[in-house]
Amino acid sequence: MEYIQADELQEKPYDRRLMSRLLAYLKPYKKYVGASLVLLAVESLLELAPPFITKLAIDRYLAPTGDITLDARHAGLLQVVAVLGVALIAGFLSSYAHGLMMSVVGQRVMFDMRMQIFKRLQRLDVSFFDRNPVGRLMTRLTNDVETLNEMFTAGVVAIFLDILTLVGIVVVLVWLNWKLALITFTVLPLLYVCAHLFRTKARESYRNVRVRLAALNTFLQENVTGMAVVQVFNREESQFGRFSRLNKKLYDAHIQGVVAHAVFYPAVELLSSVAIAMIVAFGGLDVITGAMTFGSLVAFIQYAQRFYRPISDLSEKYNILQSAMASSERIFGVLDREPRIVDAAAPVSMPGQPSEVVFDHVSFSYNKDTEVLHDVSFRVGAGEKVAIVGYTGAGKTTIISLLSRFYDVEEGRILIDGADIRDYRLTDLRRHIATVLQDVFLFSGSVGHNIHLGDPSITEDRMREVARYINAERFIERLPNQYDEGVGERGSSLSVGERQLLSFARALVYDPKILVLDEATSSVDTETEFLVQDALRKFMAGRTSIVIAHRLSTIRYVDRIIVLHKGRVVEEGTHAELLGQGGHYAKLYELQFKEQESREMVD
Amino acid sequence: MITPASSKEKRRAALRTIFRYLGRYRGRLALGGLSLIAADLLVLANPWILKTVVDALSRGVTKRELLTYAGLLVAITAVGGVFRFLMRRIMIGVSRRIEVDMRADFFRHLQALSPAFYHRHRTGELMALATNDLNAVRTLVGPAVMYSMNTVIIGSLSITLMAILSWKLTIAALLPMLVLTVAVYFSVRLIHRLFERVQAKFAAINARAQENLSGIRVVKAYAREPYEIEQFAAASNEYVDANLKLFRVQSMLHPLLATVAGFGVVAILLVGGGLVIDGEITLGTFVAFNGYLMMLFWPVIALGWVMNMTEQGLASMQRINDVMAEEPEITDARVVATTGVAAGAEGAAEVRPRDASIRFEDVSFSYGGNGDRGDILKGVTFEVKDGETVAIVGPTGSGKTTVVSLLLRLYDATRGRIVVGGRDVRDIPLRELRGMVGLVPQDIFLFSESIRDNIAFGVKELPDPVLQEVTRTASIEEEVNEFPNRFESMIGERGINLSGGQKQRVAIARALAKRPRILVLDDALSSVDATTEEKILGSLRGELENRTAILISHRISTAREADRVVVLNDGEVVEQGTHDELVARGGLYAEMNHKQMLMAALERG
Repeated sequence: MEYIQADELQEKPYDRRLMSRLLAYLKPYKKYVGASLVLLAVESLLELAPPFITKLAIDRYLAPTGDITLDARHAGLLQVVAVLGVALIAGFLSSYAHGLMMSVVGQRVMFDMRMQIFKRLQRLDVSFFDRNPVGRLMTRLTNDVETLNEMFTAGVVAIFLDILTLVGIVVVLVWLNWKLALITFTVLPLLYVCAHLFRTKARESYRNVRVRLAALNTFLQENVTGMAVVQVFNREESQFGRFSRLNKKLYDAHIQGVVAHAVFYPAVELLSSVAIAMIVAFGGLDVITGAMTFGSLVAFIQYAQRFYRPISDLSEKYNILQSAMASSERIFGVLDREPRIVDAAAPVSMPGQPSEVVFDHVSFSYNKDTEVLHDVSFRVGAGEKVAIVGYTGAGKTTIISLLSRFYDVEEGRILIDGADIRDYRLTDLRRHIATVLQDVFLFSGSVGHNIHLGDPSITEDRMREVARYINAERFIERLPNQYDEGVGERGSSLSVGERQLLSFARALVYDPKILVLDEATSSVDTETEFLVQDALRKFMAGRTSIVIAHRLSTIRYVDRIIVLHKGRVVEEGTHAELLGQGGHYAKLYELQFKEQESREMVD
Repeated sequence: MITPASSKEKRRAALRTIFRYLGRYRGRLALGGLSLIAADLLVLANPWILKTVVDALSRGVTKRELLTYAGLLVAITAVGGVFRFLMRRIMIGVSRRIEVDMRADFFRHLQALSPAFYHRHRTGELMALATNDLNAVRTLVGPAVMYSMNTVIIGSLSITLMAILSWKLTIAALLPMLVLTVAVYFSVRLIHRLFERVQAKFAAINARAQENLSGIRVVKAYAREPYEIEQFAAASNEYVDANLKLFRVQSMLHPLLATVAGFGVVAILLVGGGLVIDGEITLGTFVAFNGYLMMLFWPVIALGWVMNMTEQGLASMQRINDVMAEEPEITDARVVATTGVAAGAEGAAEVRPRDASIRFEDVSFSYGGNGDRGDILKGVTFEVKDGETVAIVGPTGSGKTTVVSLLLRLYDATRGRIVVGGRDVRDIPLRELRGMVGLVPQDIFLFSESIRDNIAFGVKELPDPVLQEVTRTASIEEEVNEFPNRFESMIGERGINLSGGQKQRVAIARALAKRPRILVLDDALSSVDATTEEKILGSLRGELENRTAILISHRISTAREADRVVVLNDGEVVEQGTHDELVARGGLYAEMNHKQMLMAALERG
């Protein structure tokens, strides 16, 4: 998004602790930074050169006091001009080189920082993502990092240049004519006050503009999104009225800034003309008395005109620093967060055989108030196929999340082959278990990519073999670019059934020992349905399988059914047994599965 | 798609639009222009005074004369400063006014456009127009206009004065300046292009991160974190590369400008110095020349910059014009044409519906255009008598919500007609029609404002007793009173997050606060549990008694409250009658009824 949210606009006063932590990022590039600082000193020296060289030219060759021939004057002028030319080119080179170096440093630091944030995000728990909307995390990765970039490239180093230049001018003026220099310096405090006032006003306006612009844009965005509501409630007029008020407020903030600028530039010009007038009056007298040369007078005037820039830059840099402080605090907030779900200190290794899964008195809640699972216990033997059924809100999906350690259980434990899952390495655990979620998330990229997910250990042949086995090859080969076919945003170009097959293939390439599947509820056409069912059977063969079932054919196929209700296991048994009991399962069956029976008969 | 001729025409139209807005402020702009000229004339006097001083110094001068010159310098700058202030205040101020005008016109236009338009254009796209593009246009009508005027005036006058002083020196000094204009023009263009590349790479990083974070569960489930980090690093690296390409040009620009300007000084020193030595010009002239050259520096840079700003501003203006050219599809045109009642009128007797009865007469509808999925409604006919409550039920995708959209004229029917109180809805002013209806939409949209403001959304004012009454009816009062700021609590990111059910109940209160003659609840209780539903339905009963109501639901419990039920399936009315009749009939409705009784049994456990 191009526009910013109001709460992203905070500024923070300079904070030493944050600053030293930020400066640590420069460490790997200290050679660059050092070289830039040297170039900077050269640059500020060279910036002082032109007025001084002009002075030399005037005093020695244009209006010489001593005896000197015309030819010698011409020759001397040529020399001076050559020196000036060289100084200009050298100044250009050093300035360019330093600018380039600092932008390289800035970019590298940003890269390091961005990667650090991203890596940290990859390690953080799912519960962290439940609490932090994607948009907010995106801001950390992008806007906040950019703000710091500005500080590194335009801020820190440029401050040295400004100070050096200012000091240089002062030194040269005092050396040329200390009395006149002191007189000229009387405008400096005024200039500073002027710059300070301007800075305060301009900043106030700038901040107002940003806050009011954010408010206006939020309003606009909301009204565009909810335009139908506005129209249905006949609110066009009053919403327009509110819009106009926000618009007017933004205008006022802008005008505040316009006035600040409009007053400020002429004020600076006036001050500099006062300085020049004093130089003309007092310096002129010195020239008449011979206490000062023409050249010095001209140089004085030119230096006085160069006072302002460094002074105003200095105050601007302070603003950059303040935004950088706020951004870095937010970034460090993410970096300092430690994941809670981590590898055990001494992880045990995963067995290579089909595994037994045991839920042992497991309780869990997402937030402390409402428990989602209460004392859930069940066992799935190695190679056994079990279906979990239950009405909405029974806690089925939570079982999947706990098994992959997206969350850790609060009470009880989950065992795989006798060992607590918290004793395995996370990577091992998750690769061992193939989780197929109901809402198939496809990454943008090719179909092939969505199967191997960029794992180089999965060969092209393996990928094709799996796709063929799982009935996905048929539709993939019908695509114009087959495995290289691009998948649109969130896989919109593929049908539900095709996406399911793709997600099966994705899970199967790793040859997992345990299959955990949340069966899709949405129906697909008969032919694809058949392919999906067939694929599922192939997939389950020889694997410990836990399926959250929505299909009649699935509950008929599995070895055992676990009925979950409001976070508790209420019934357990085969389809026929449970149906015979006439309990909870029987009702559920009639509601969710029976209809499929009649459809099956029609088909 | 766009032929060269039409693109030229668009450019001309963009210019016309810009001149139209500028024209509104022609008086002010003239004043600003005059101030600019006055300020420029005064500023040009300064080097001339310096020249006189320097020349006088070499002749010998009195202290008094020197002080006069010094005073003159300050006085001229002071008066010039006043004009400089006026120039900026007026000209930039006008551009800000134009920005306000354009933004208001844009918003006003958006308000007139129908939902079909919002189907075609994403919010982000429209926001970009209202922010980035508007800003580019503002830069064109403000700074670009001001600086180009300034460049013309300062440029022509100082060049004239320089030529009067010495034409040879003028040529020598101006050559580097010409280089400067060309350099600025091309580097700004190049920078703009490189910057767009940077933006594209930035968007790529964004997309990568967004996708990764949205799919973090999949990433974790397949332990793909290392790969994702690798991919993100690759995208970040490309971004860094694009940035460095940009900086290679950008960090050159500023030193380059300073150096080229420096070479102007070199040229003056070389040529002018020579002329001084040969006695062709005085030292004063030489000094004045330096002054004029410095004065040219900024306008010359501005020239290259202004040219780019103009191009970008015009391109943005064209994009904005494209949206401004969209005609609203749903209007009062038919009312105006047949009755002569003004558009947007409310309460005119000759167009007011007789009562609050509703009749759909053989209504068909399709969205048309790309991705058309055929008719959503197929010859739908039904009636709701004045004061009657009718439920519309049917499976997902049966066209229930479309019925509501057509009733409120968010879209117009493709075939057939809808009659409210004896008048075709197209013959009722939009304000009148929509004013009659209190809608609780399926997708609840609340504004990031206080709860009170949201409930008062459809009315001019909302007295406390009414607020209490409607929130009690909607069963939301108690919960709101538990919030720290009660009804003043803000909704949304910076306030409280309401649950789906809470949102629905606020929306019900919002609709009731309107005291509508027709109440439409579009699946308004889907996110509340059975007990709350029962409670709300109970308290709504009183409200339903004295008004016409349409209850859309897939829940039978809601449909039961209605006098009559219309069953939609696949865009067609398949059954109609009372709850009992339909249950007895054993069709689609009876089947739904049976299933939901089972569900209720399950929920009770």
